[in-house]
Amino acid sequence: MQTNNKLKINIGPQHPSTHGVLRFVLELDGEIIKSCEPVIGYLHRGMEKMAESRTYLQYLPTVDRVDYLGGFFNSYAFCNAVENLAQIEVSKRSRYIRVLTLEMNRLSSHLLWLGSYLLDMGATSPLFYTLRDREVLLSLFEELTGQRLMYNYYTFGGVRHDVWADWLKKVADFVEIMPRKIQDYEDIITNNPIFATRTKDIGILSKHKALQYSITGPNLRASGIDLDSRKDANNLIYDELDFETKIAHSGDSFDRYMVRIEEMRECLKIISQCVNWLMGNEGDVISPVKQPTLKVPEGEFISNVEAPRGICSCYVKSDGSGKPYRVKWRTGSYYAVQLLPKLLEGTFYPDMMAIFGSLDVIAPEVDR
Amino acid sequence: MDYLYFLYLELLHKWNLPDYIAMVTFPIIPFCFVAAALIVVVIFLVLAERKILAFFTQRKGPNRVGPWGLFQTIADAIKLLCKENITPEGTDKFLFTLAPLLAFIPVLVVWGIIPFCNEFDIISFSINSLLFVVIAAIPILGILLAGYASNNKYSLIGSVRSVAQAISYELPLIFVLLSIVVLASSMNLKQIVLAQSSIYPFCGYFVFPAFLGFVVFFACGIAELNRCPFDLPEAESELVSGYNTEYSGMKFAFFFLAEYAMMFIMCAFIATLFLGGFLSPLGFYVGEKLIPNEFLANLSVYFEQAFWVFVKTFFLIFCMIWVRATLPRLKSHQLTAFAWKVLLPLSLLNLLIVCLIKAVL
Amino acid sequence: MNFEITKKENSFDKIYIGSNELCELLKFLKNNPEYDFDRLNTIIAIDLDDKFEVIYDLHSTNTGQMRRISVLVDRNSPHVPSVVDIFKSAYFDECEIYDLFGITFDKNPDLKRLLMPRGWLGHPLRKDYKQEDERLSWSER
Repeated sequence: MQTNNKLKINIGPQHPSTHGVLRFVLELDGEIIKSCEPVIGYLHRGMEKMAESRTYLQYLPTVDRVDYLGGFFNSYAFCNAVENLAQIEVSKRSRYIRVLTLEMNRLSSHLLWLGSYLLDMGATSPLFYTLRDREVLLSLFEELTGQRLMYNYYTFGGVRHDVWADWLKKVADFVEIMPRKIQDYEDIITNNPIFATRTKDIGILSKHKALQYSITGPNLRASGIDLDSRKDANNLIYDELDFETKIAHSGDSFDRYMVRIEEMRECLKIISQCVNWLMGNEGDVISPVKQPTLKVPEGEFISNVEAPRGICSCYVKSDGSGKPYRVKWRTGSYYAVQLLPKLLEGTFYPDMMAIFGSLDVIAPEVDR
Repeated sequence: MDYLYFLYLELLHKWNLPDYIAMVTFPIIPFCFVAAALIVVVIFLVLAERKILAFFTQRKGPNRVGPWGLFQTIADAIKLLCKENITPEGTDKFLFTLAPLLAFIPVLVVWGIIPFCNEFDIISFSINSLLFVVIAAIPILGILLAGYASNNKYSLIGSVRSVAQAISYELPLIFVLLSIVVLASSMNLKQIVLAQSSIYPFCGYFVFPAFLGFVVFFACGIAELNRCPFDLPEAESELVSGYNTEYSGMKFAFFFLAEYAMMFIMCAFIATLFLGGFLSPLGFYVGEKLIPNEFLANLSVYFEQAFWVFVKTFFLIFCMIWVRATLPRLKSHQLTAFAWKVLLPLSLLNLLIVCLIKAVL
Repeated sequence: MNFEITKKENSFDKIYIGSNELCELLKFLKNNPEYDFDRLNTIIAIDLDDKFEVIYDLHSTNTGQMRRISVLVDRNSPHVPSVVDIFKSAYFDECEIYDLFGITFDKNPDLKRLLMPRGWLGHPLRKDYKQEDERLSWSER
């Protein structure tokens, strides 16, 4: 250990700031990180193997667990793949409901990220503020789906049941107060000199590197690449909605933070448009499909969705039986963890949390 | 102190005991009082910190044990005492046990330096403000030993950071202290307090001429206490718990106690240097005016003075908790850079300003 | 180069290519400005009973196009050339496929088990996988 003047140190598997069960083997020279090796697999639950022994409907409740903070996104990716394979129509109203819940989910995920990121940097208060606002969202989800994290609300051909006016009213109320709260966060965080010095020019991710390492989502947009798969998602109605994709250019931790903050504002825009549409229009939300005995014709499909932590792809191959032949999940955090050693080399040890936190990695999504 | 000793001597004479017993036993009494007060203060300080943080983050804080959660810390303390003392494999057992004591005992000693009222400063001699700085630096040694003896890399990094931090922040601290000494023309804390009295209430406090020094001292005090935003030695997200990662039970309780007691004492010290210590900000003492009996009036004045020390101290503690609730943590090299490049020049500037003021007046 | 684009019923377009020409094709698709596939979304491996299929899911961030390239691998000696020097993100994917399918990626800098514990026996996502590990506790591994 001491022969080369380097200190080998284990971050994890149990450590306050690894957001689950991740492990990094760091080599420190003083406080400078010489090398970092991520070790993953502590949360491997065999989601892909599990799919092969279950029918489509039996597998559906488990997919929310791929990323526990963005359950709707995984659920949507899987449903969308199956719908495309089985040629199931999805009504317009249920697409609107899907977009509404997806964006609310994105907002709740970013809120938790914001709080825990600041907690990693040593500020405790923002966590409580963001959890307070996330609580409202989770209560709304609970009222709609009966669950706070693992929703199991989407189903093949739509959503399980319609939303009701009372619930939409509550969502509209939330959208009204939320911009002020986001401004509050900006006031206490963005303009904080300590936060700025700790994140600006730290962990710079160049365009080229981001693409090489297949980084997606807000992390990629912070590096100046305008990639938002919501724009070309053909199965959702994002093209009917008015929103912008926010990008930043320097690709440091501060930009990744700013992109997420701006994205939260865009989420609110989308949510309010969806609420307005849903209040003014009627329609079916679920196609008549025999779900428990659903047989999907032979074929394969990859569905992509812009999840809070980057593109979430779900590959489904069917052999015509009632069970998927192969399911493969592609998640954003997986590639962020792979990138991390390259960003960390040569930085200071305290910067590790400023970089790692800004990538928004959660462990279950890495290990699946 | 002489007055209290005189009273004690009289009491012993009544019981027909020789003088030397009084000489030997008298110093024990204030220290017993101090030790008891220390624990009570710490217990309520921990509760106050949790309550104030809860207030800042829109929560209720502890509210289950006793009314308003008053006994929460007592319950926690009992839990800590009942816990098993784990000494991990590979530790240096002697140093591992010595470290918490080394962190705790100096705190008990410096407590005696603070003048709580006109007659109650236990360790009173001409340069006791310097003694404060010297003794208050000893717990750092305990922290270094804890990090070394734990045989844990997190602890080691935490303790090394702690020492680096202490060395960088001690210097501006002493320069500011020097400016106060210039203002008061004395190094005795009681004399410093008395030098702040003036005919108008609270106008003579040294916080006005040495405001810059007050800010620097406050920042250095926070750094000395390893509190947010200078809590690098125990940065949770990096080092789990820093130097006390491997400690549990009673030994951890000692570290914990030392940390909070030191926080109280540091704030009391700042209050003494800058905010007039035991002087009443009203300009008069209520007991003096209302109670006709001279002895009782004096006694009530002492209690009033102690009350004002506590009020000023808790105001400063509130500010420290406020800072903790607001700011994120600095980085280690930013921390030392901040001490050497910002605080040290500011403290020198403060010294210059103070000398000019002193010369003009 | 010798490849064909196949469109099957109920599936996406795939380019089938032999494993020898894979690297050349990927380099061509990445560096040619006409295609500009600058991001490897993911690598998917499938057990087709008699052989393995490895699908490279390419994505162009400029045009938004997706293109899938498929390599069929012999089951008895599964070898595919590594593409880590073209797309760095492939490293984890290749390790994962090695871990779960037992496909060896030639010239991968450090092929190792990623998700399963070190010393695990067998490759779990193969269709004929049965847990044959008779060792009882972790300490015996």
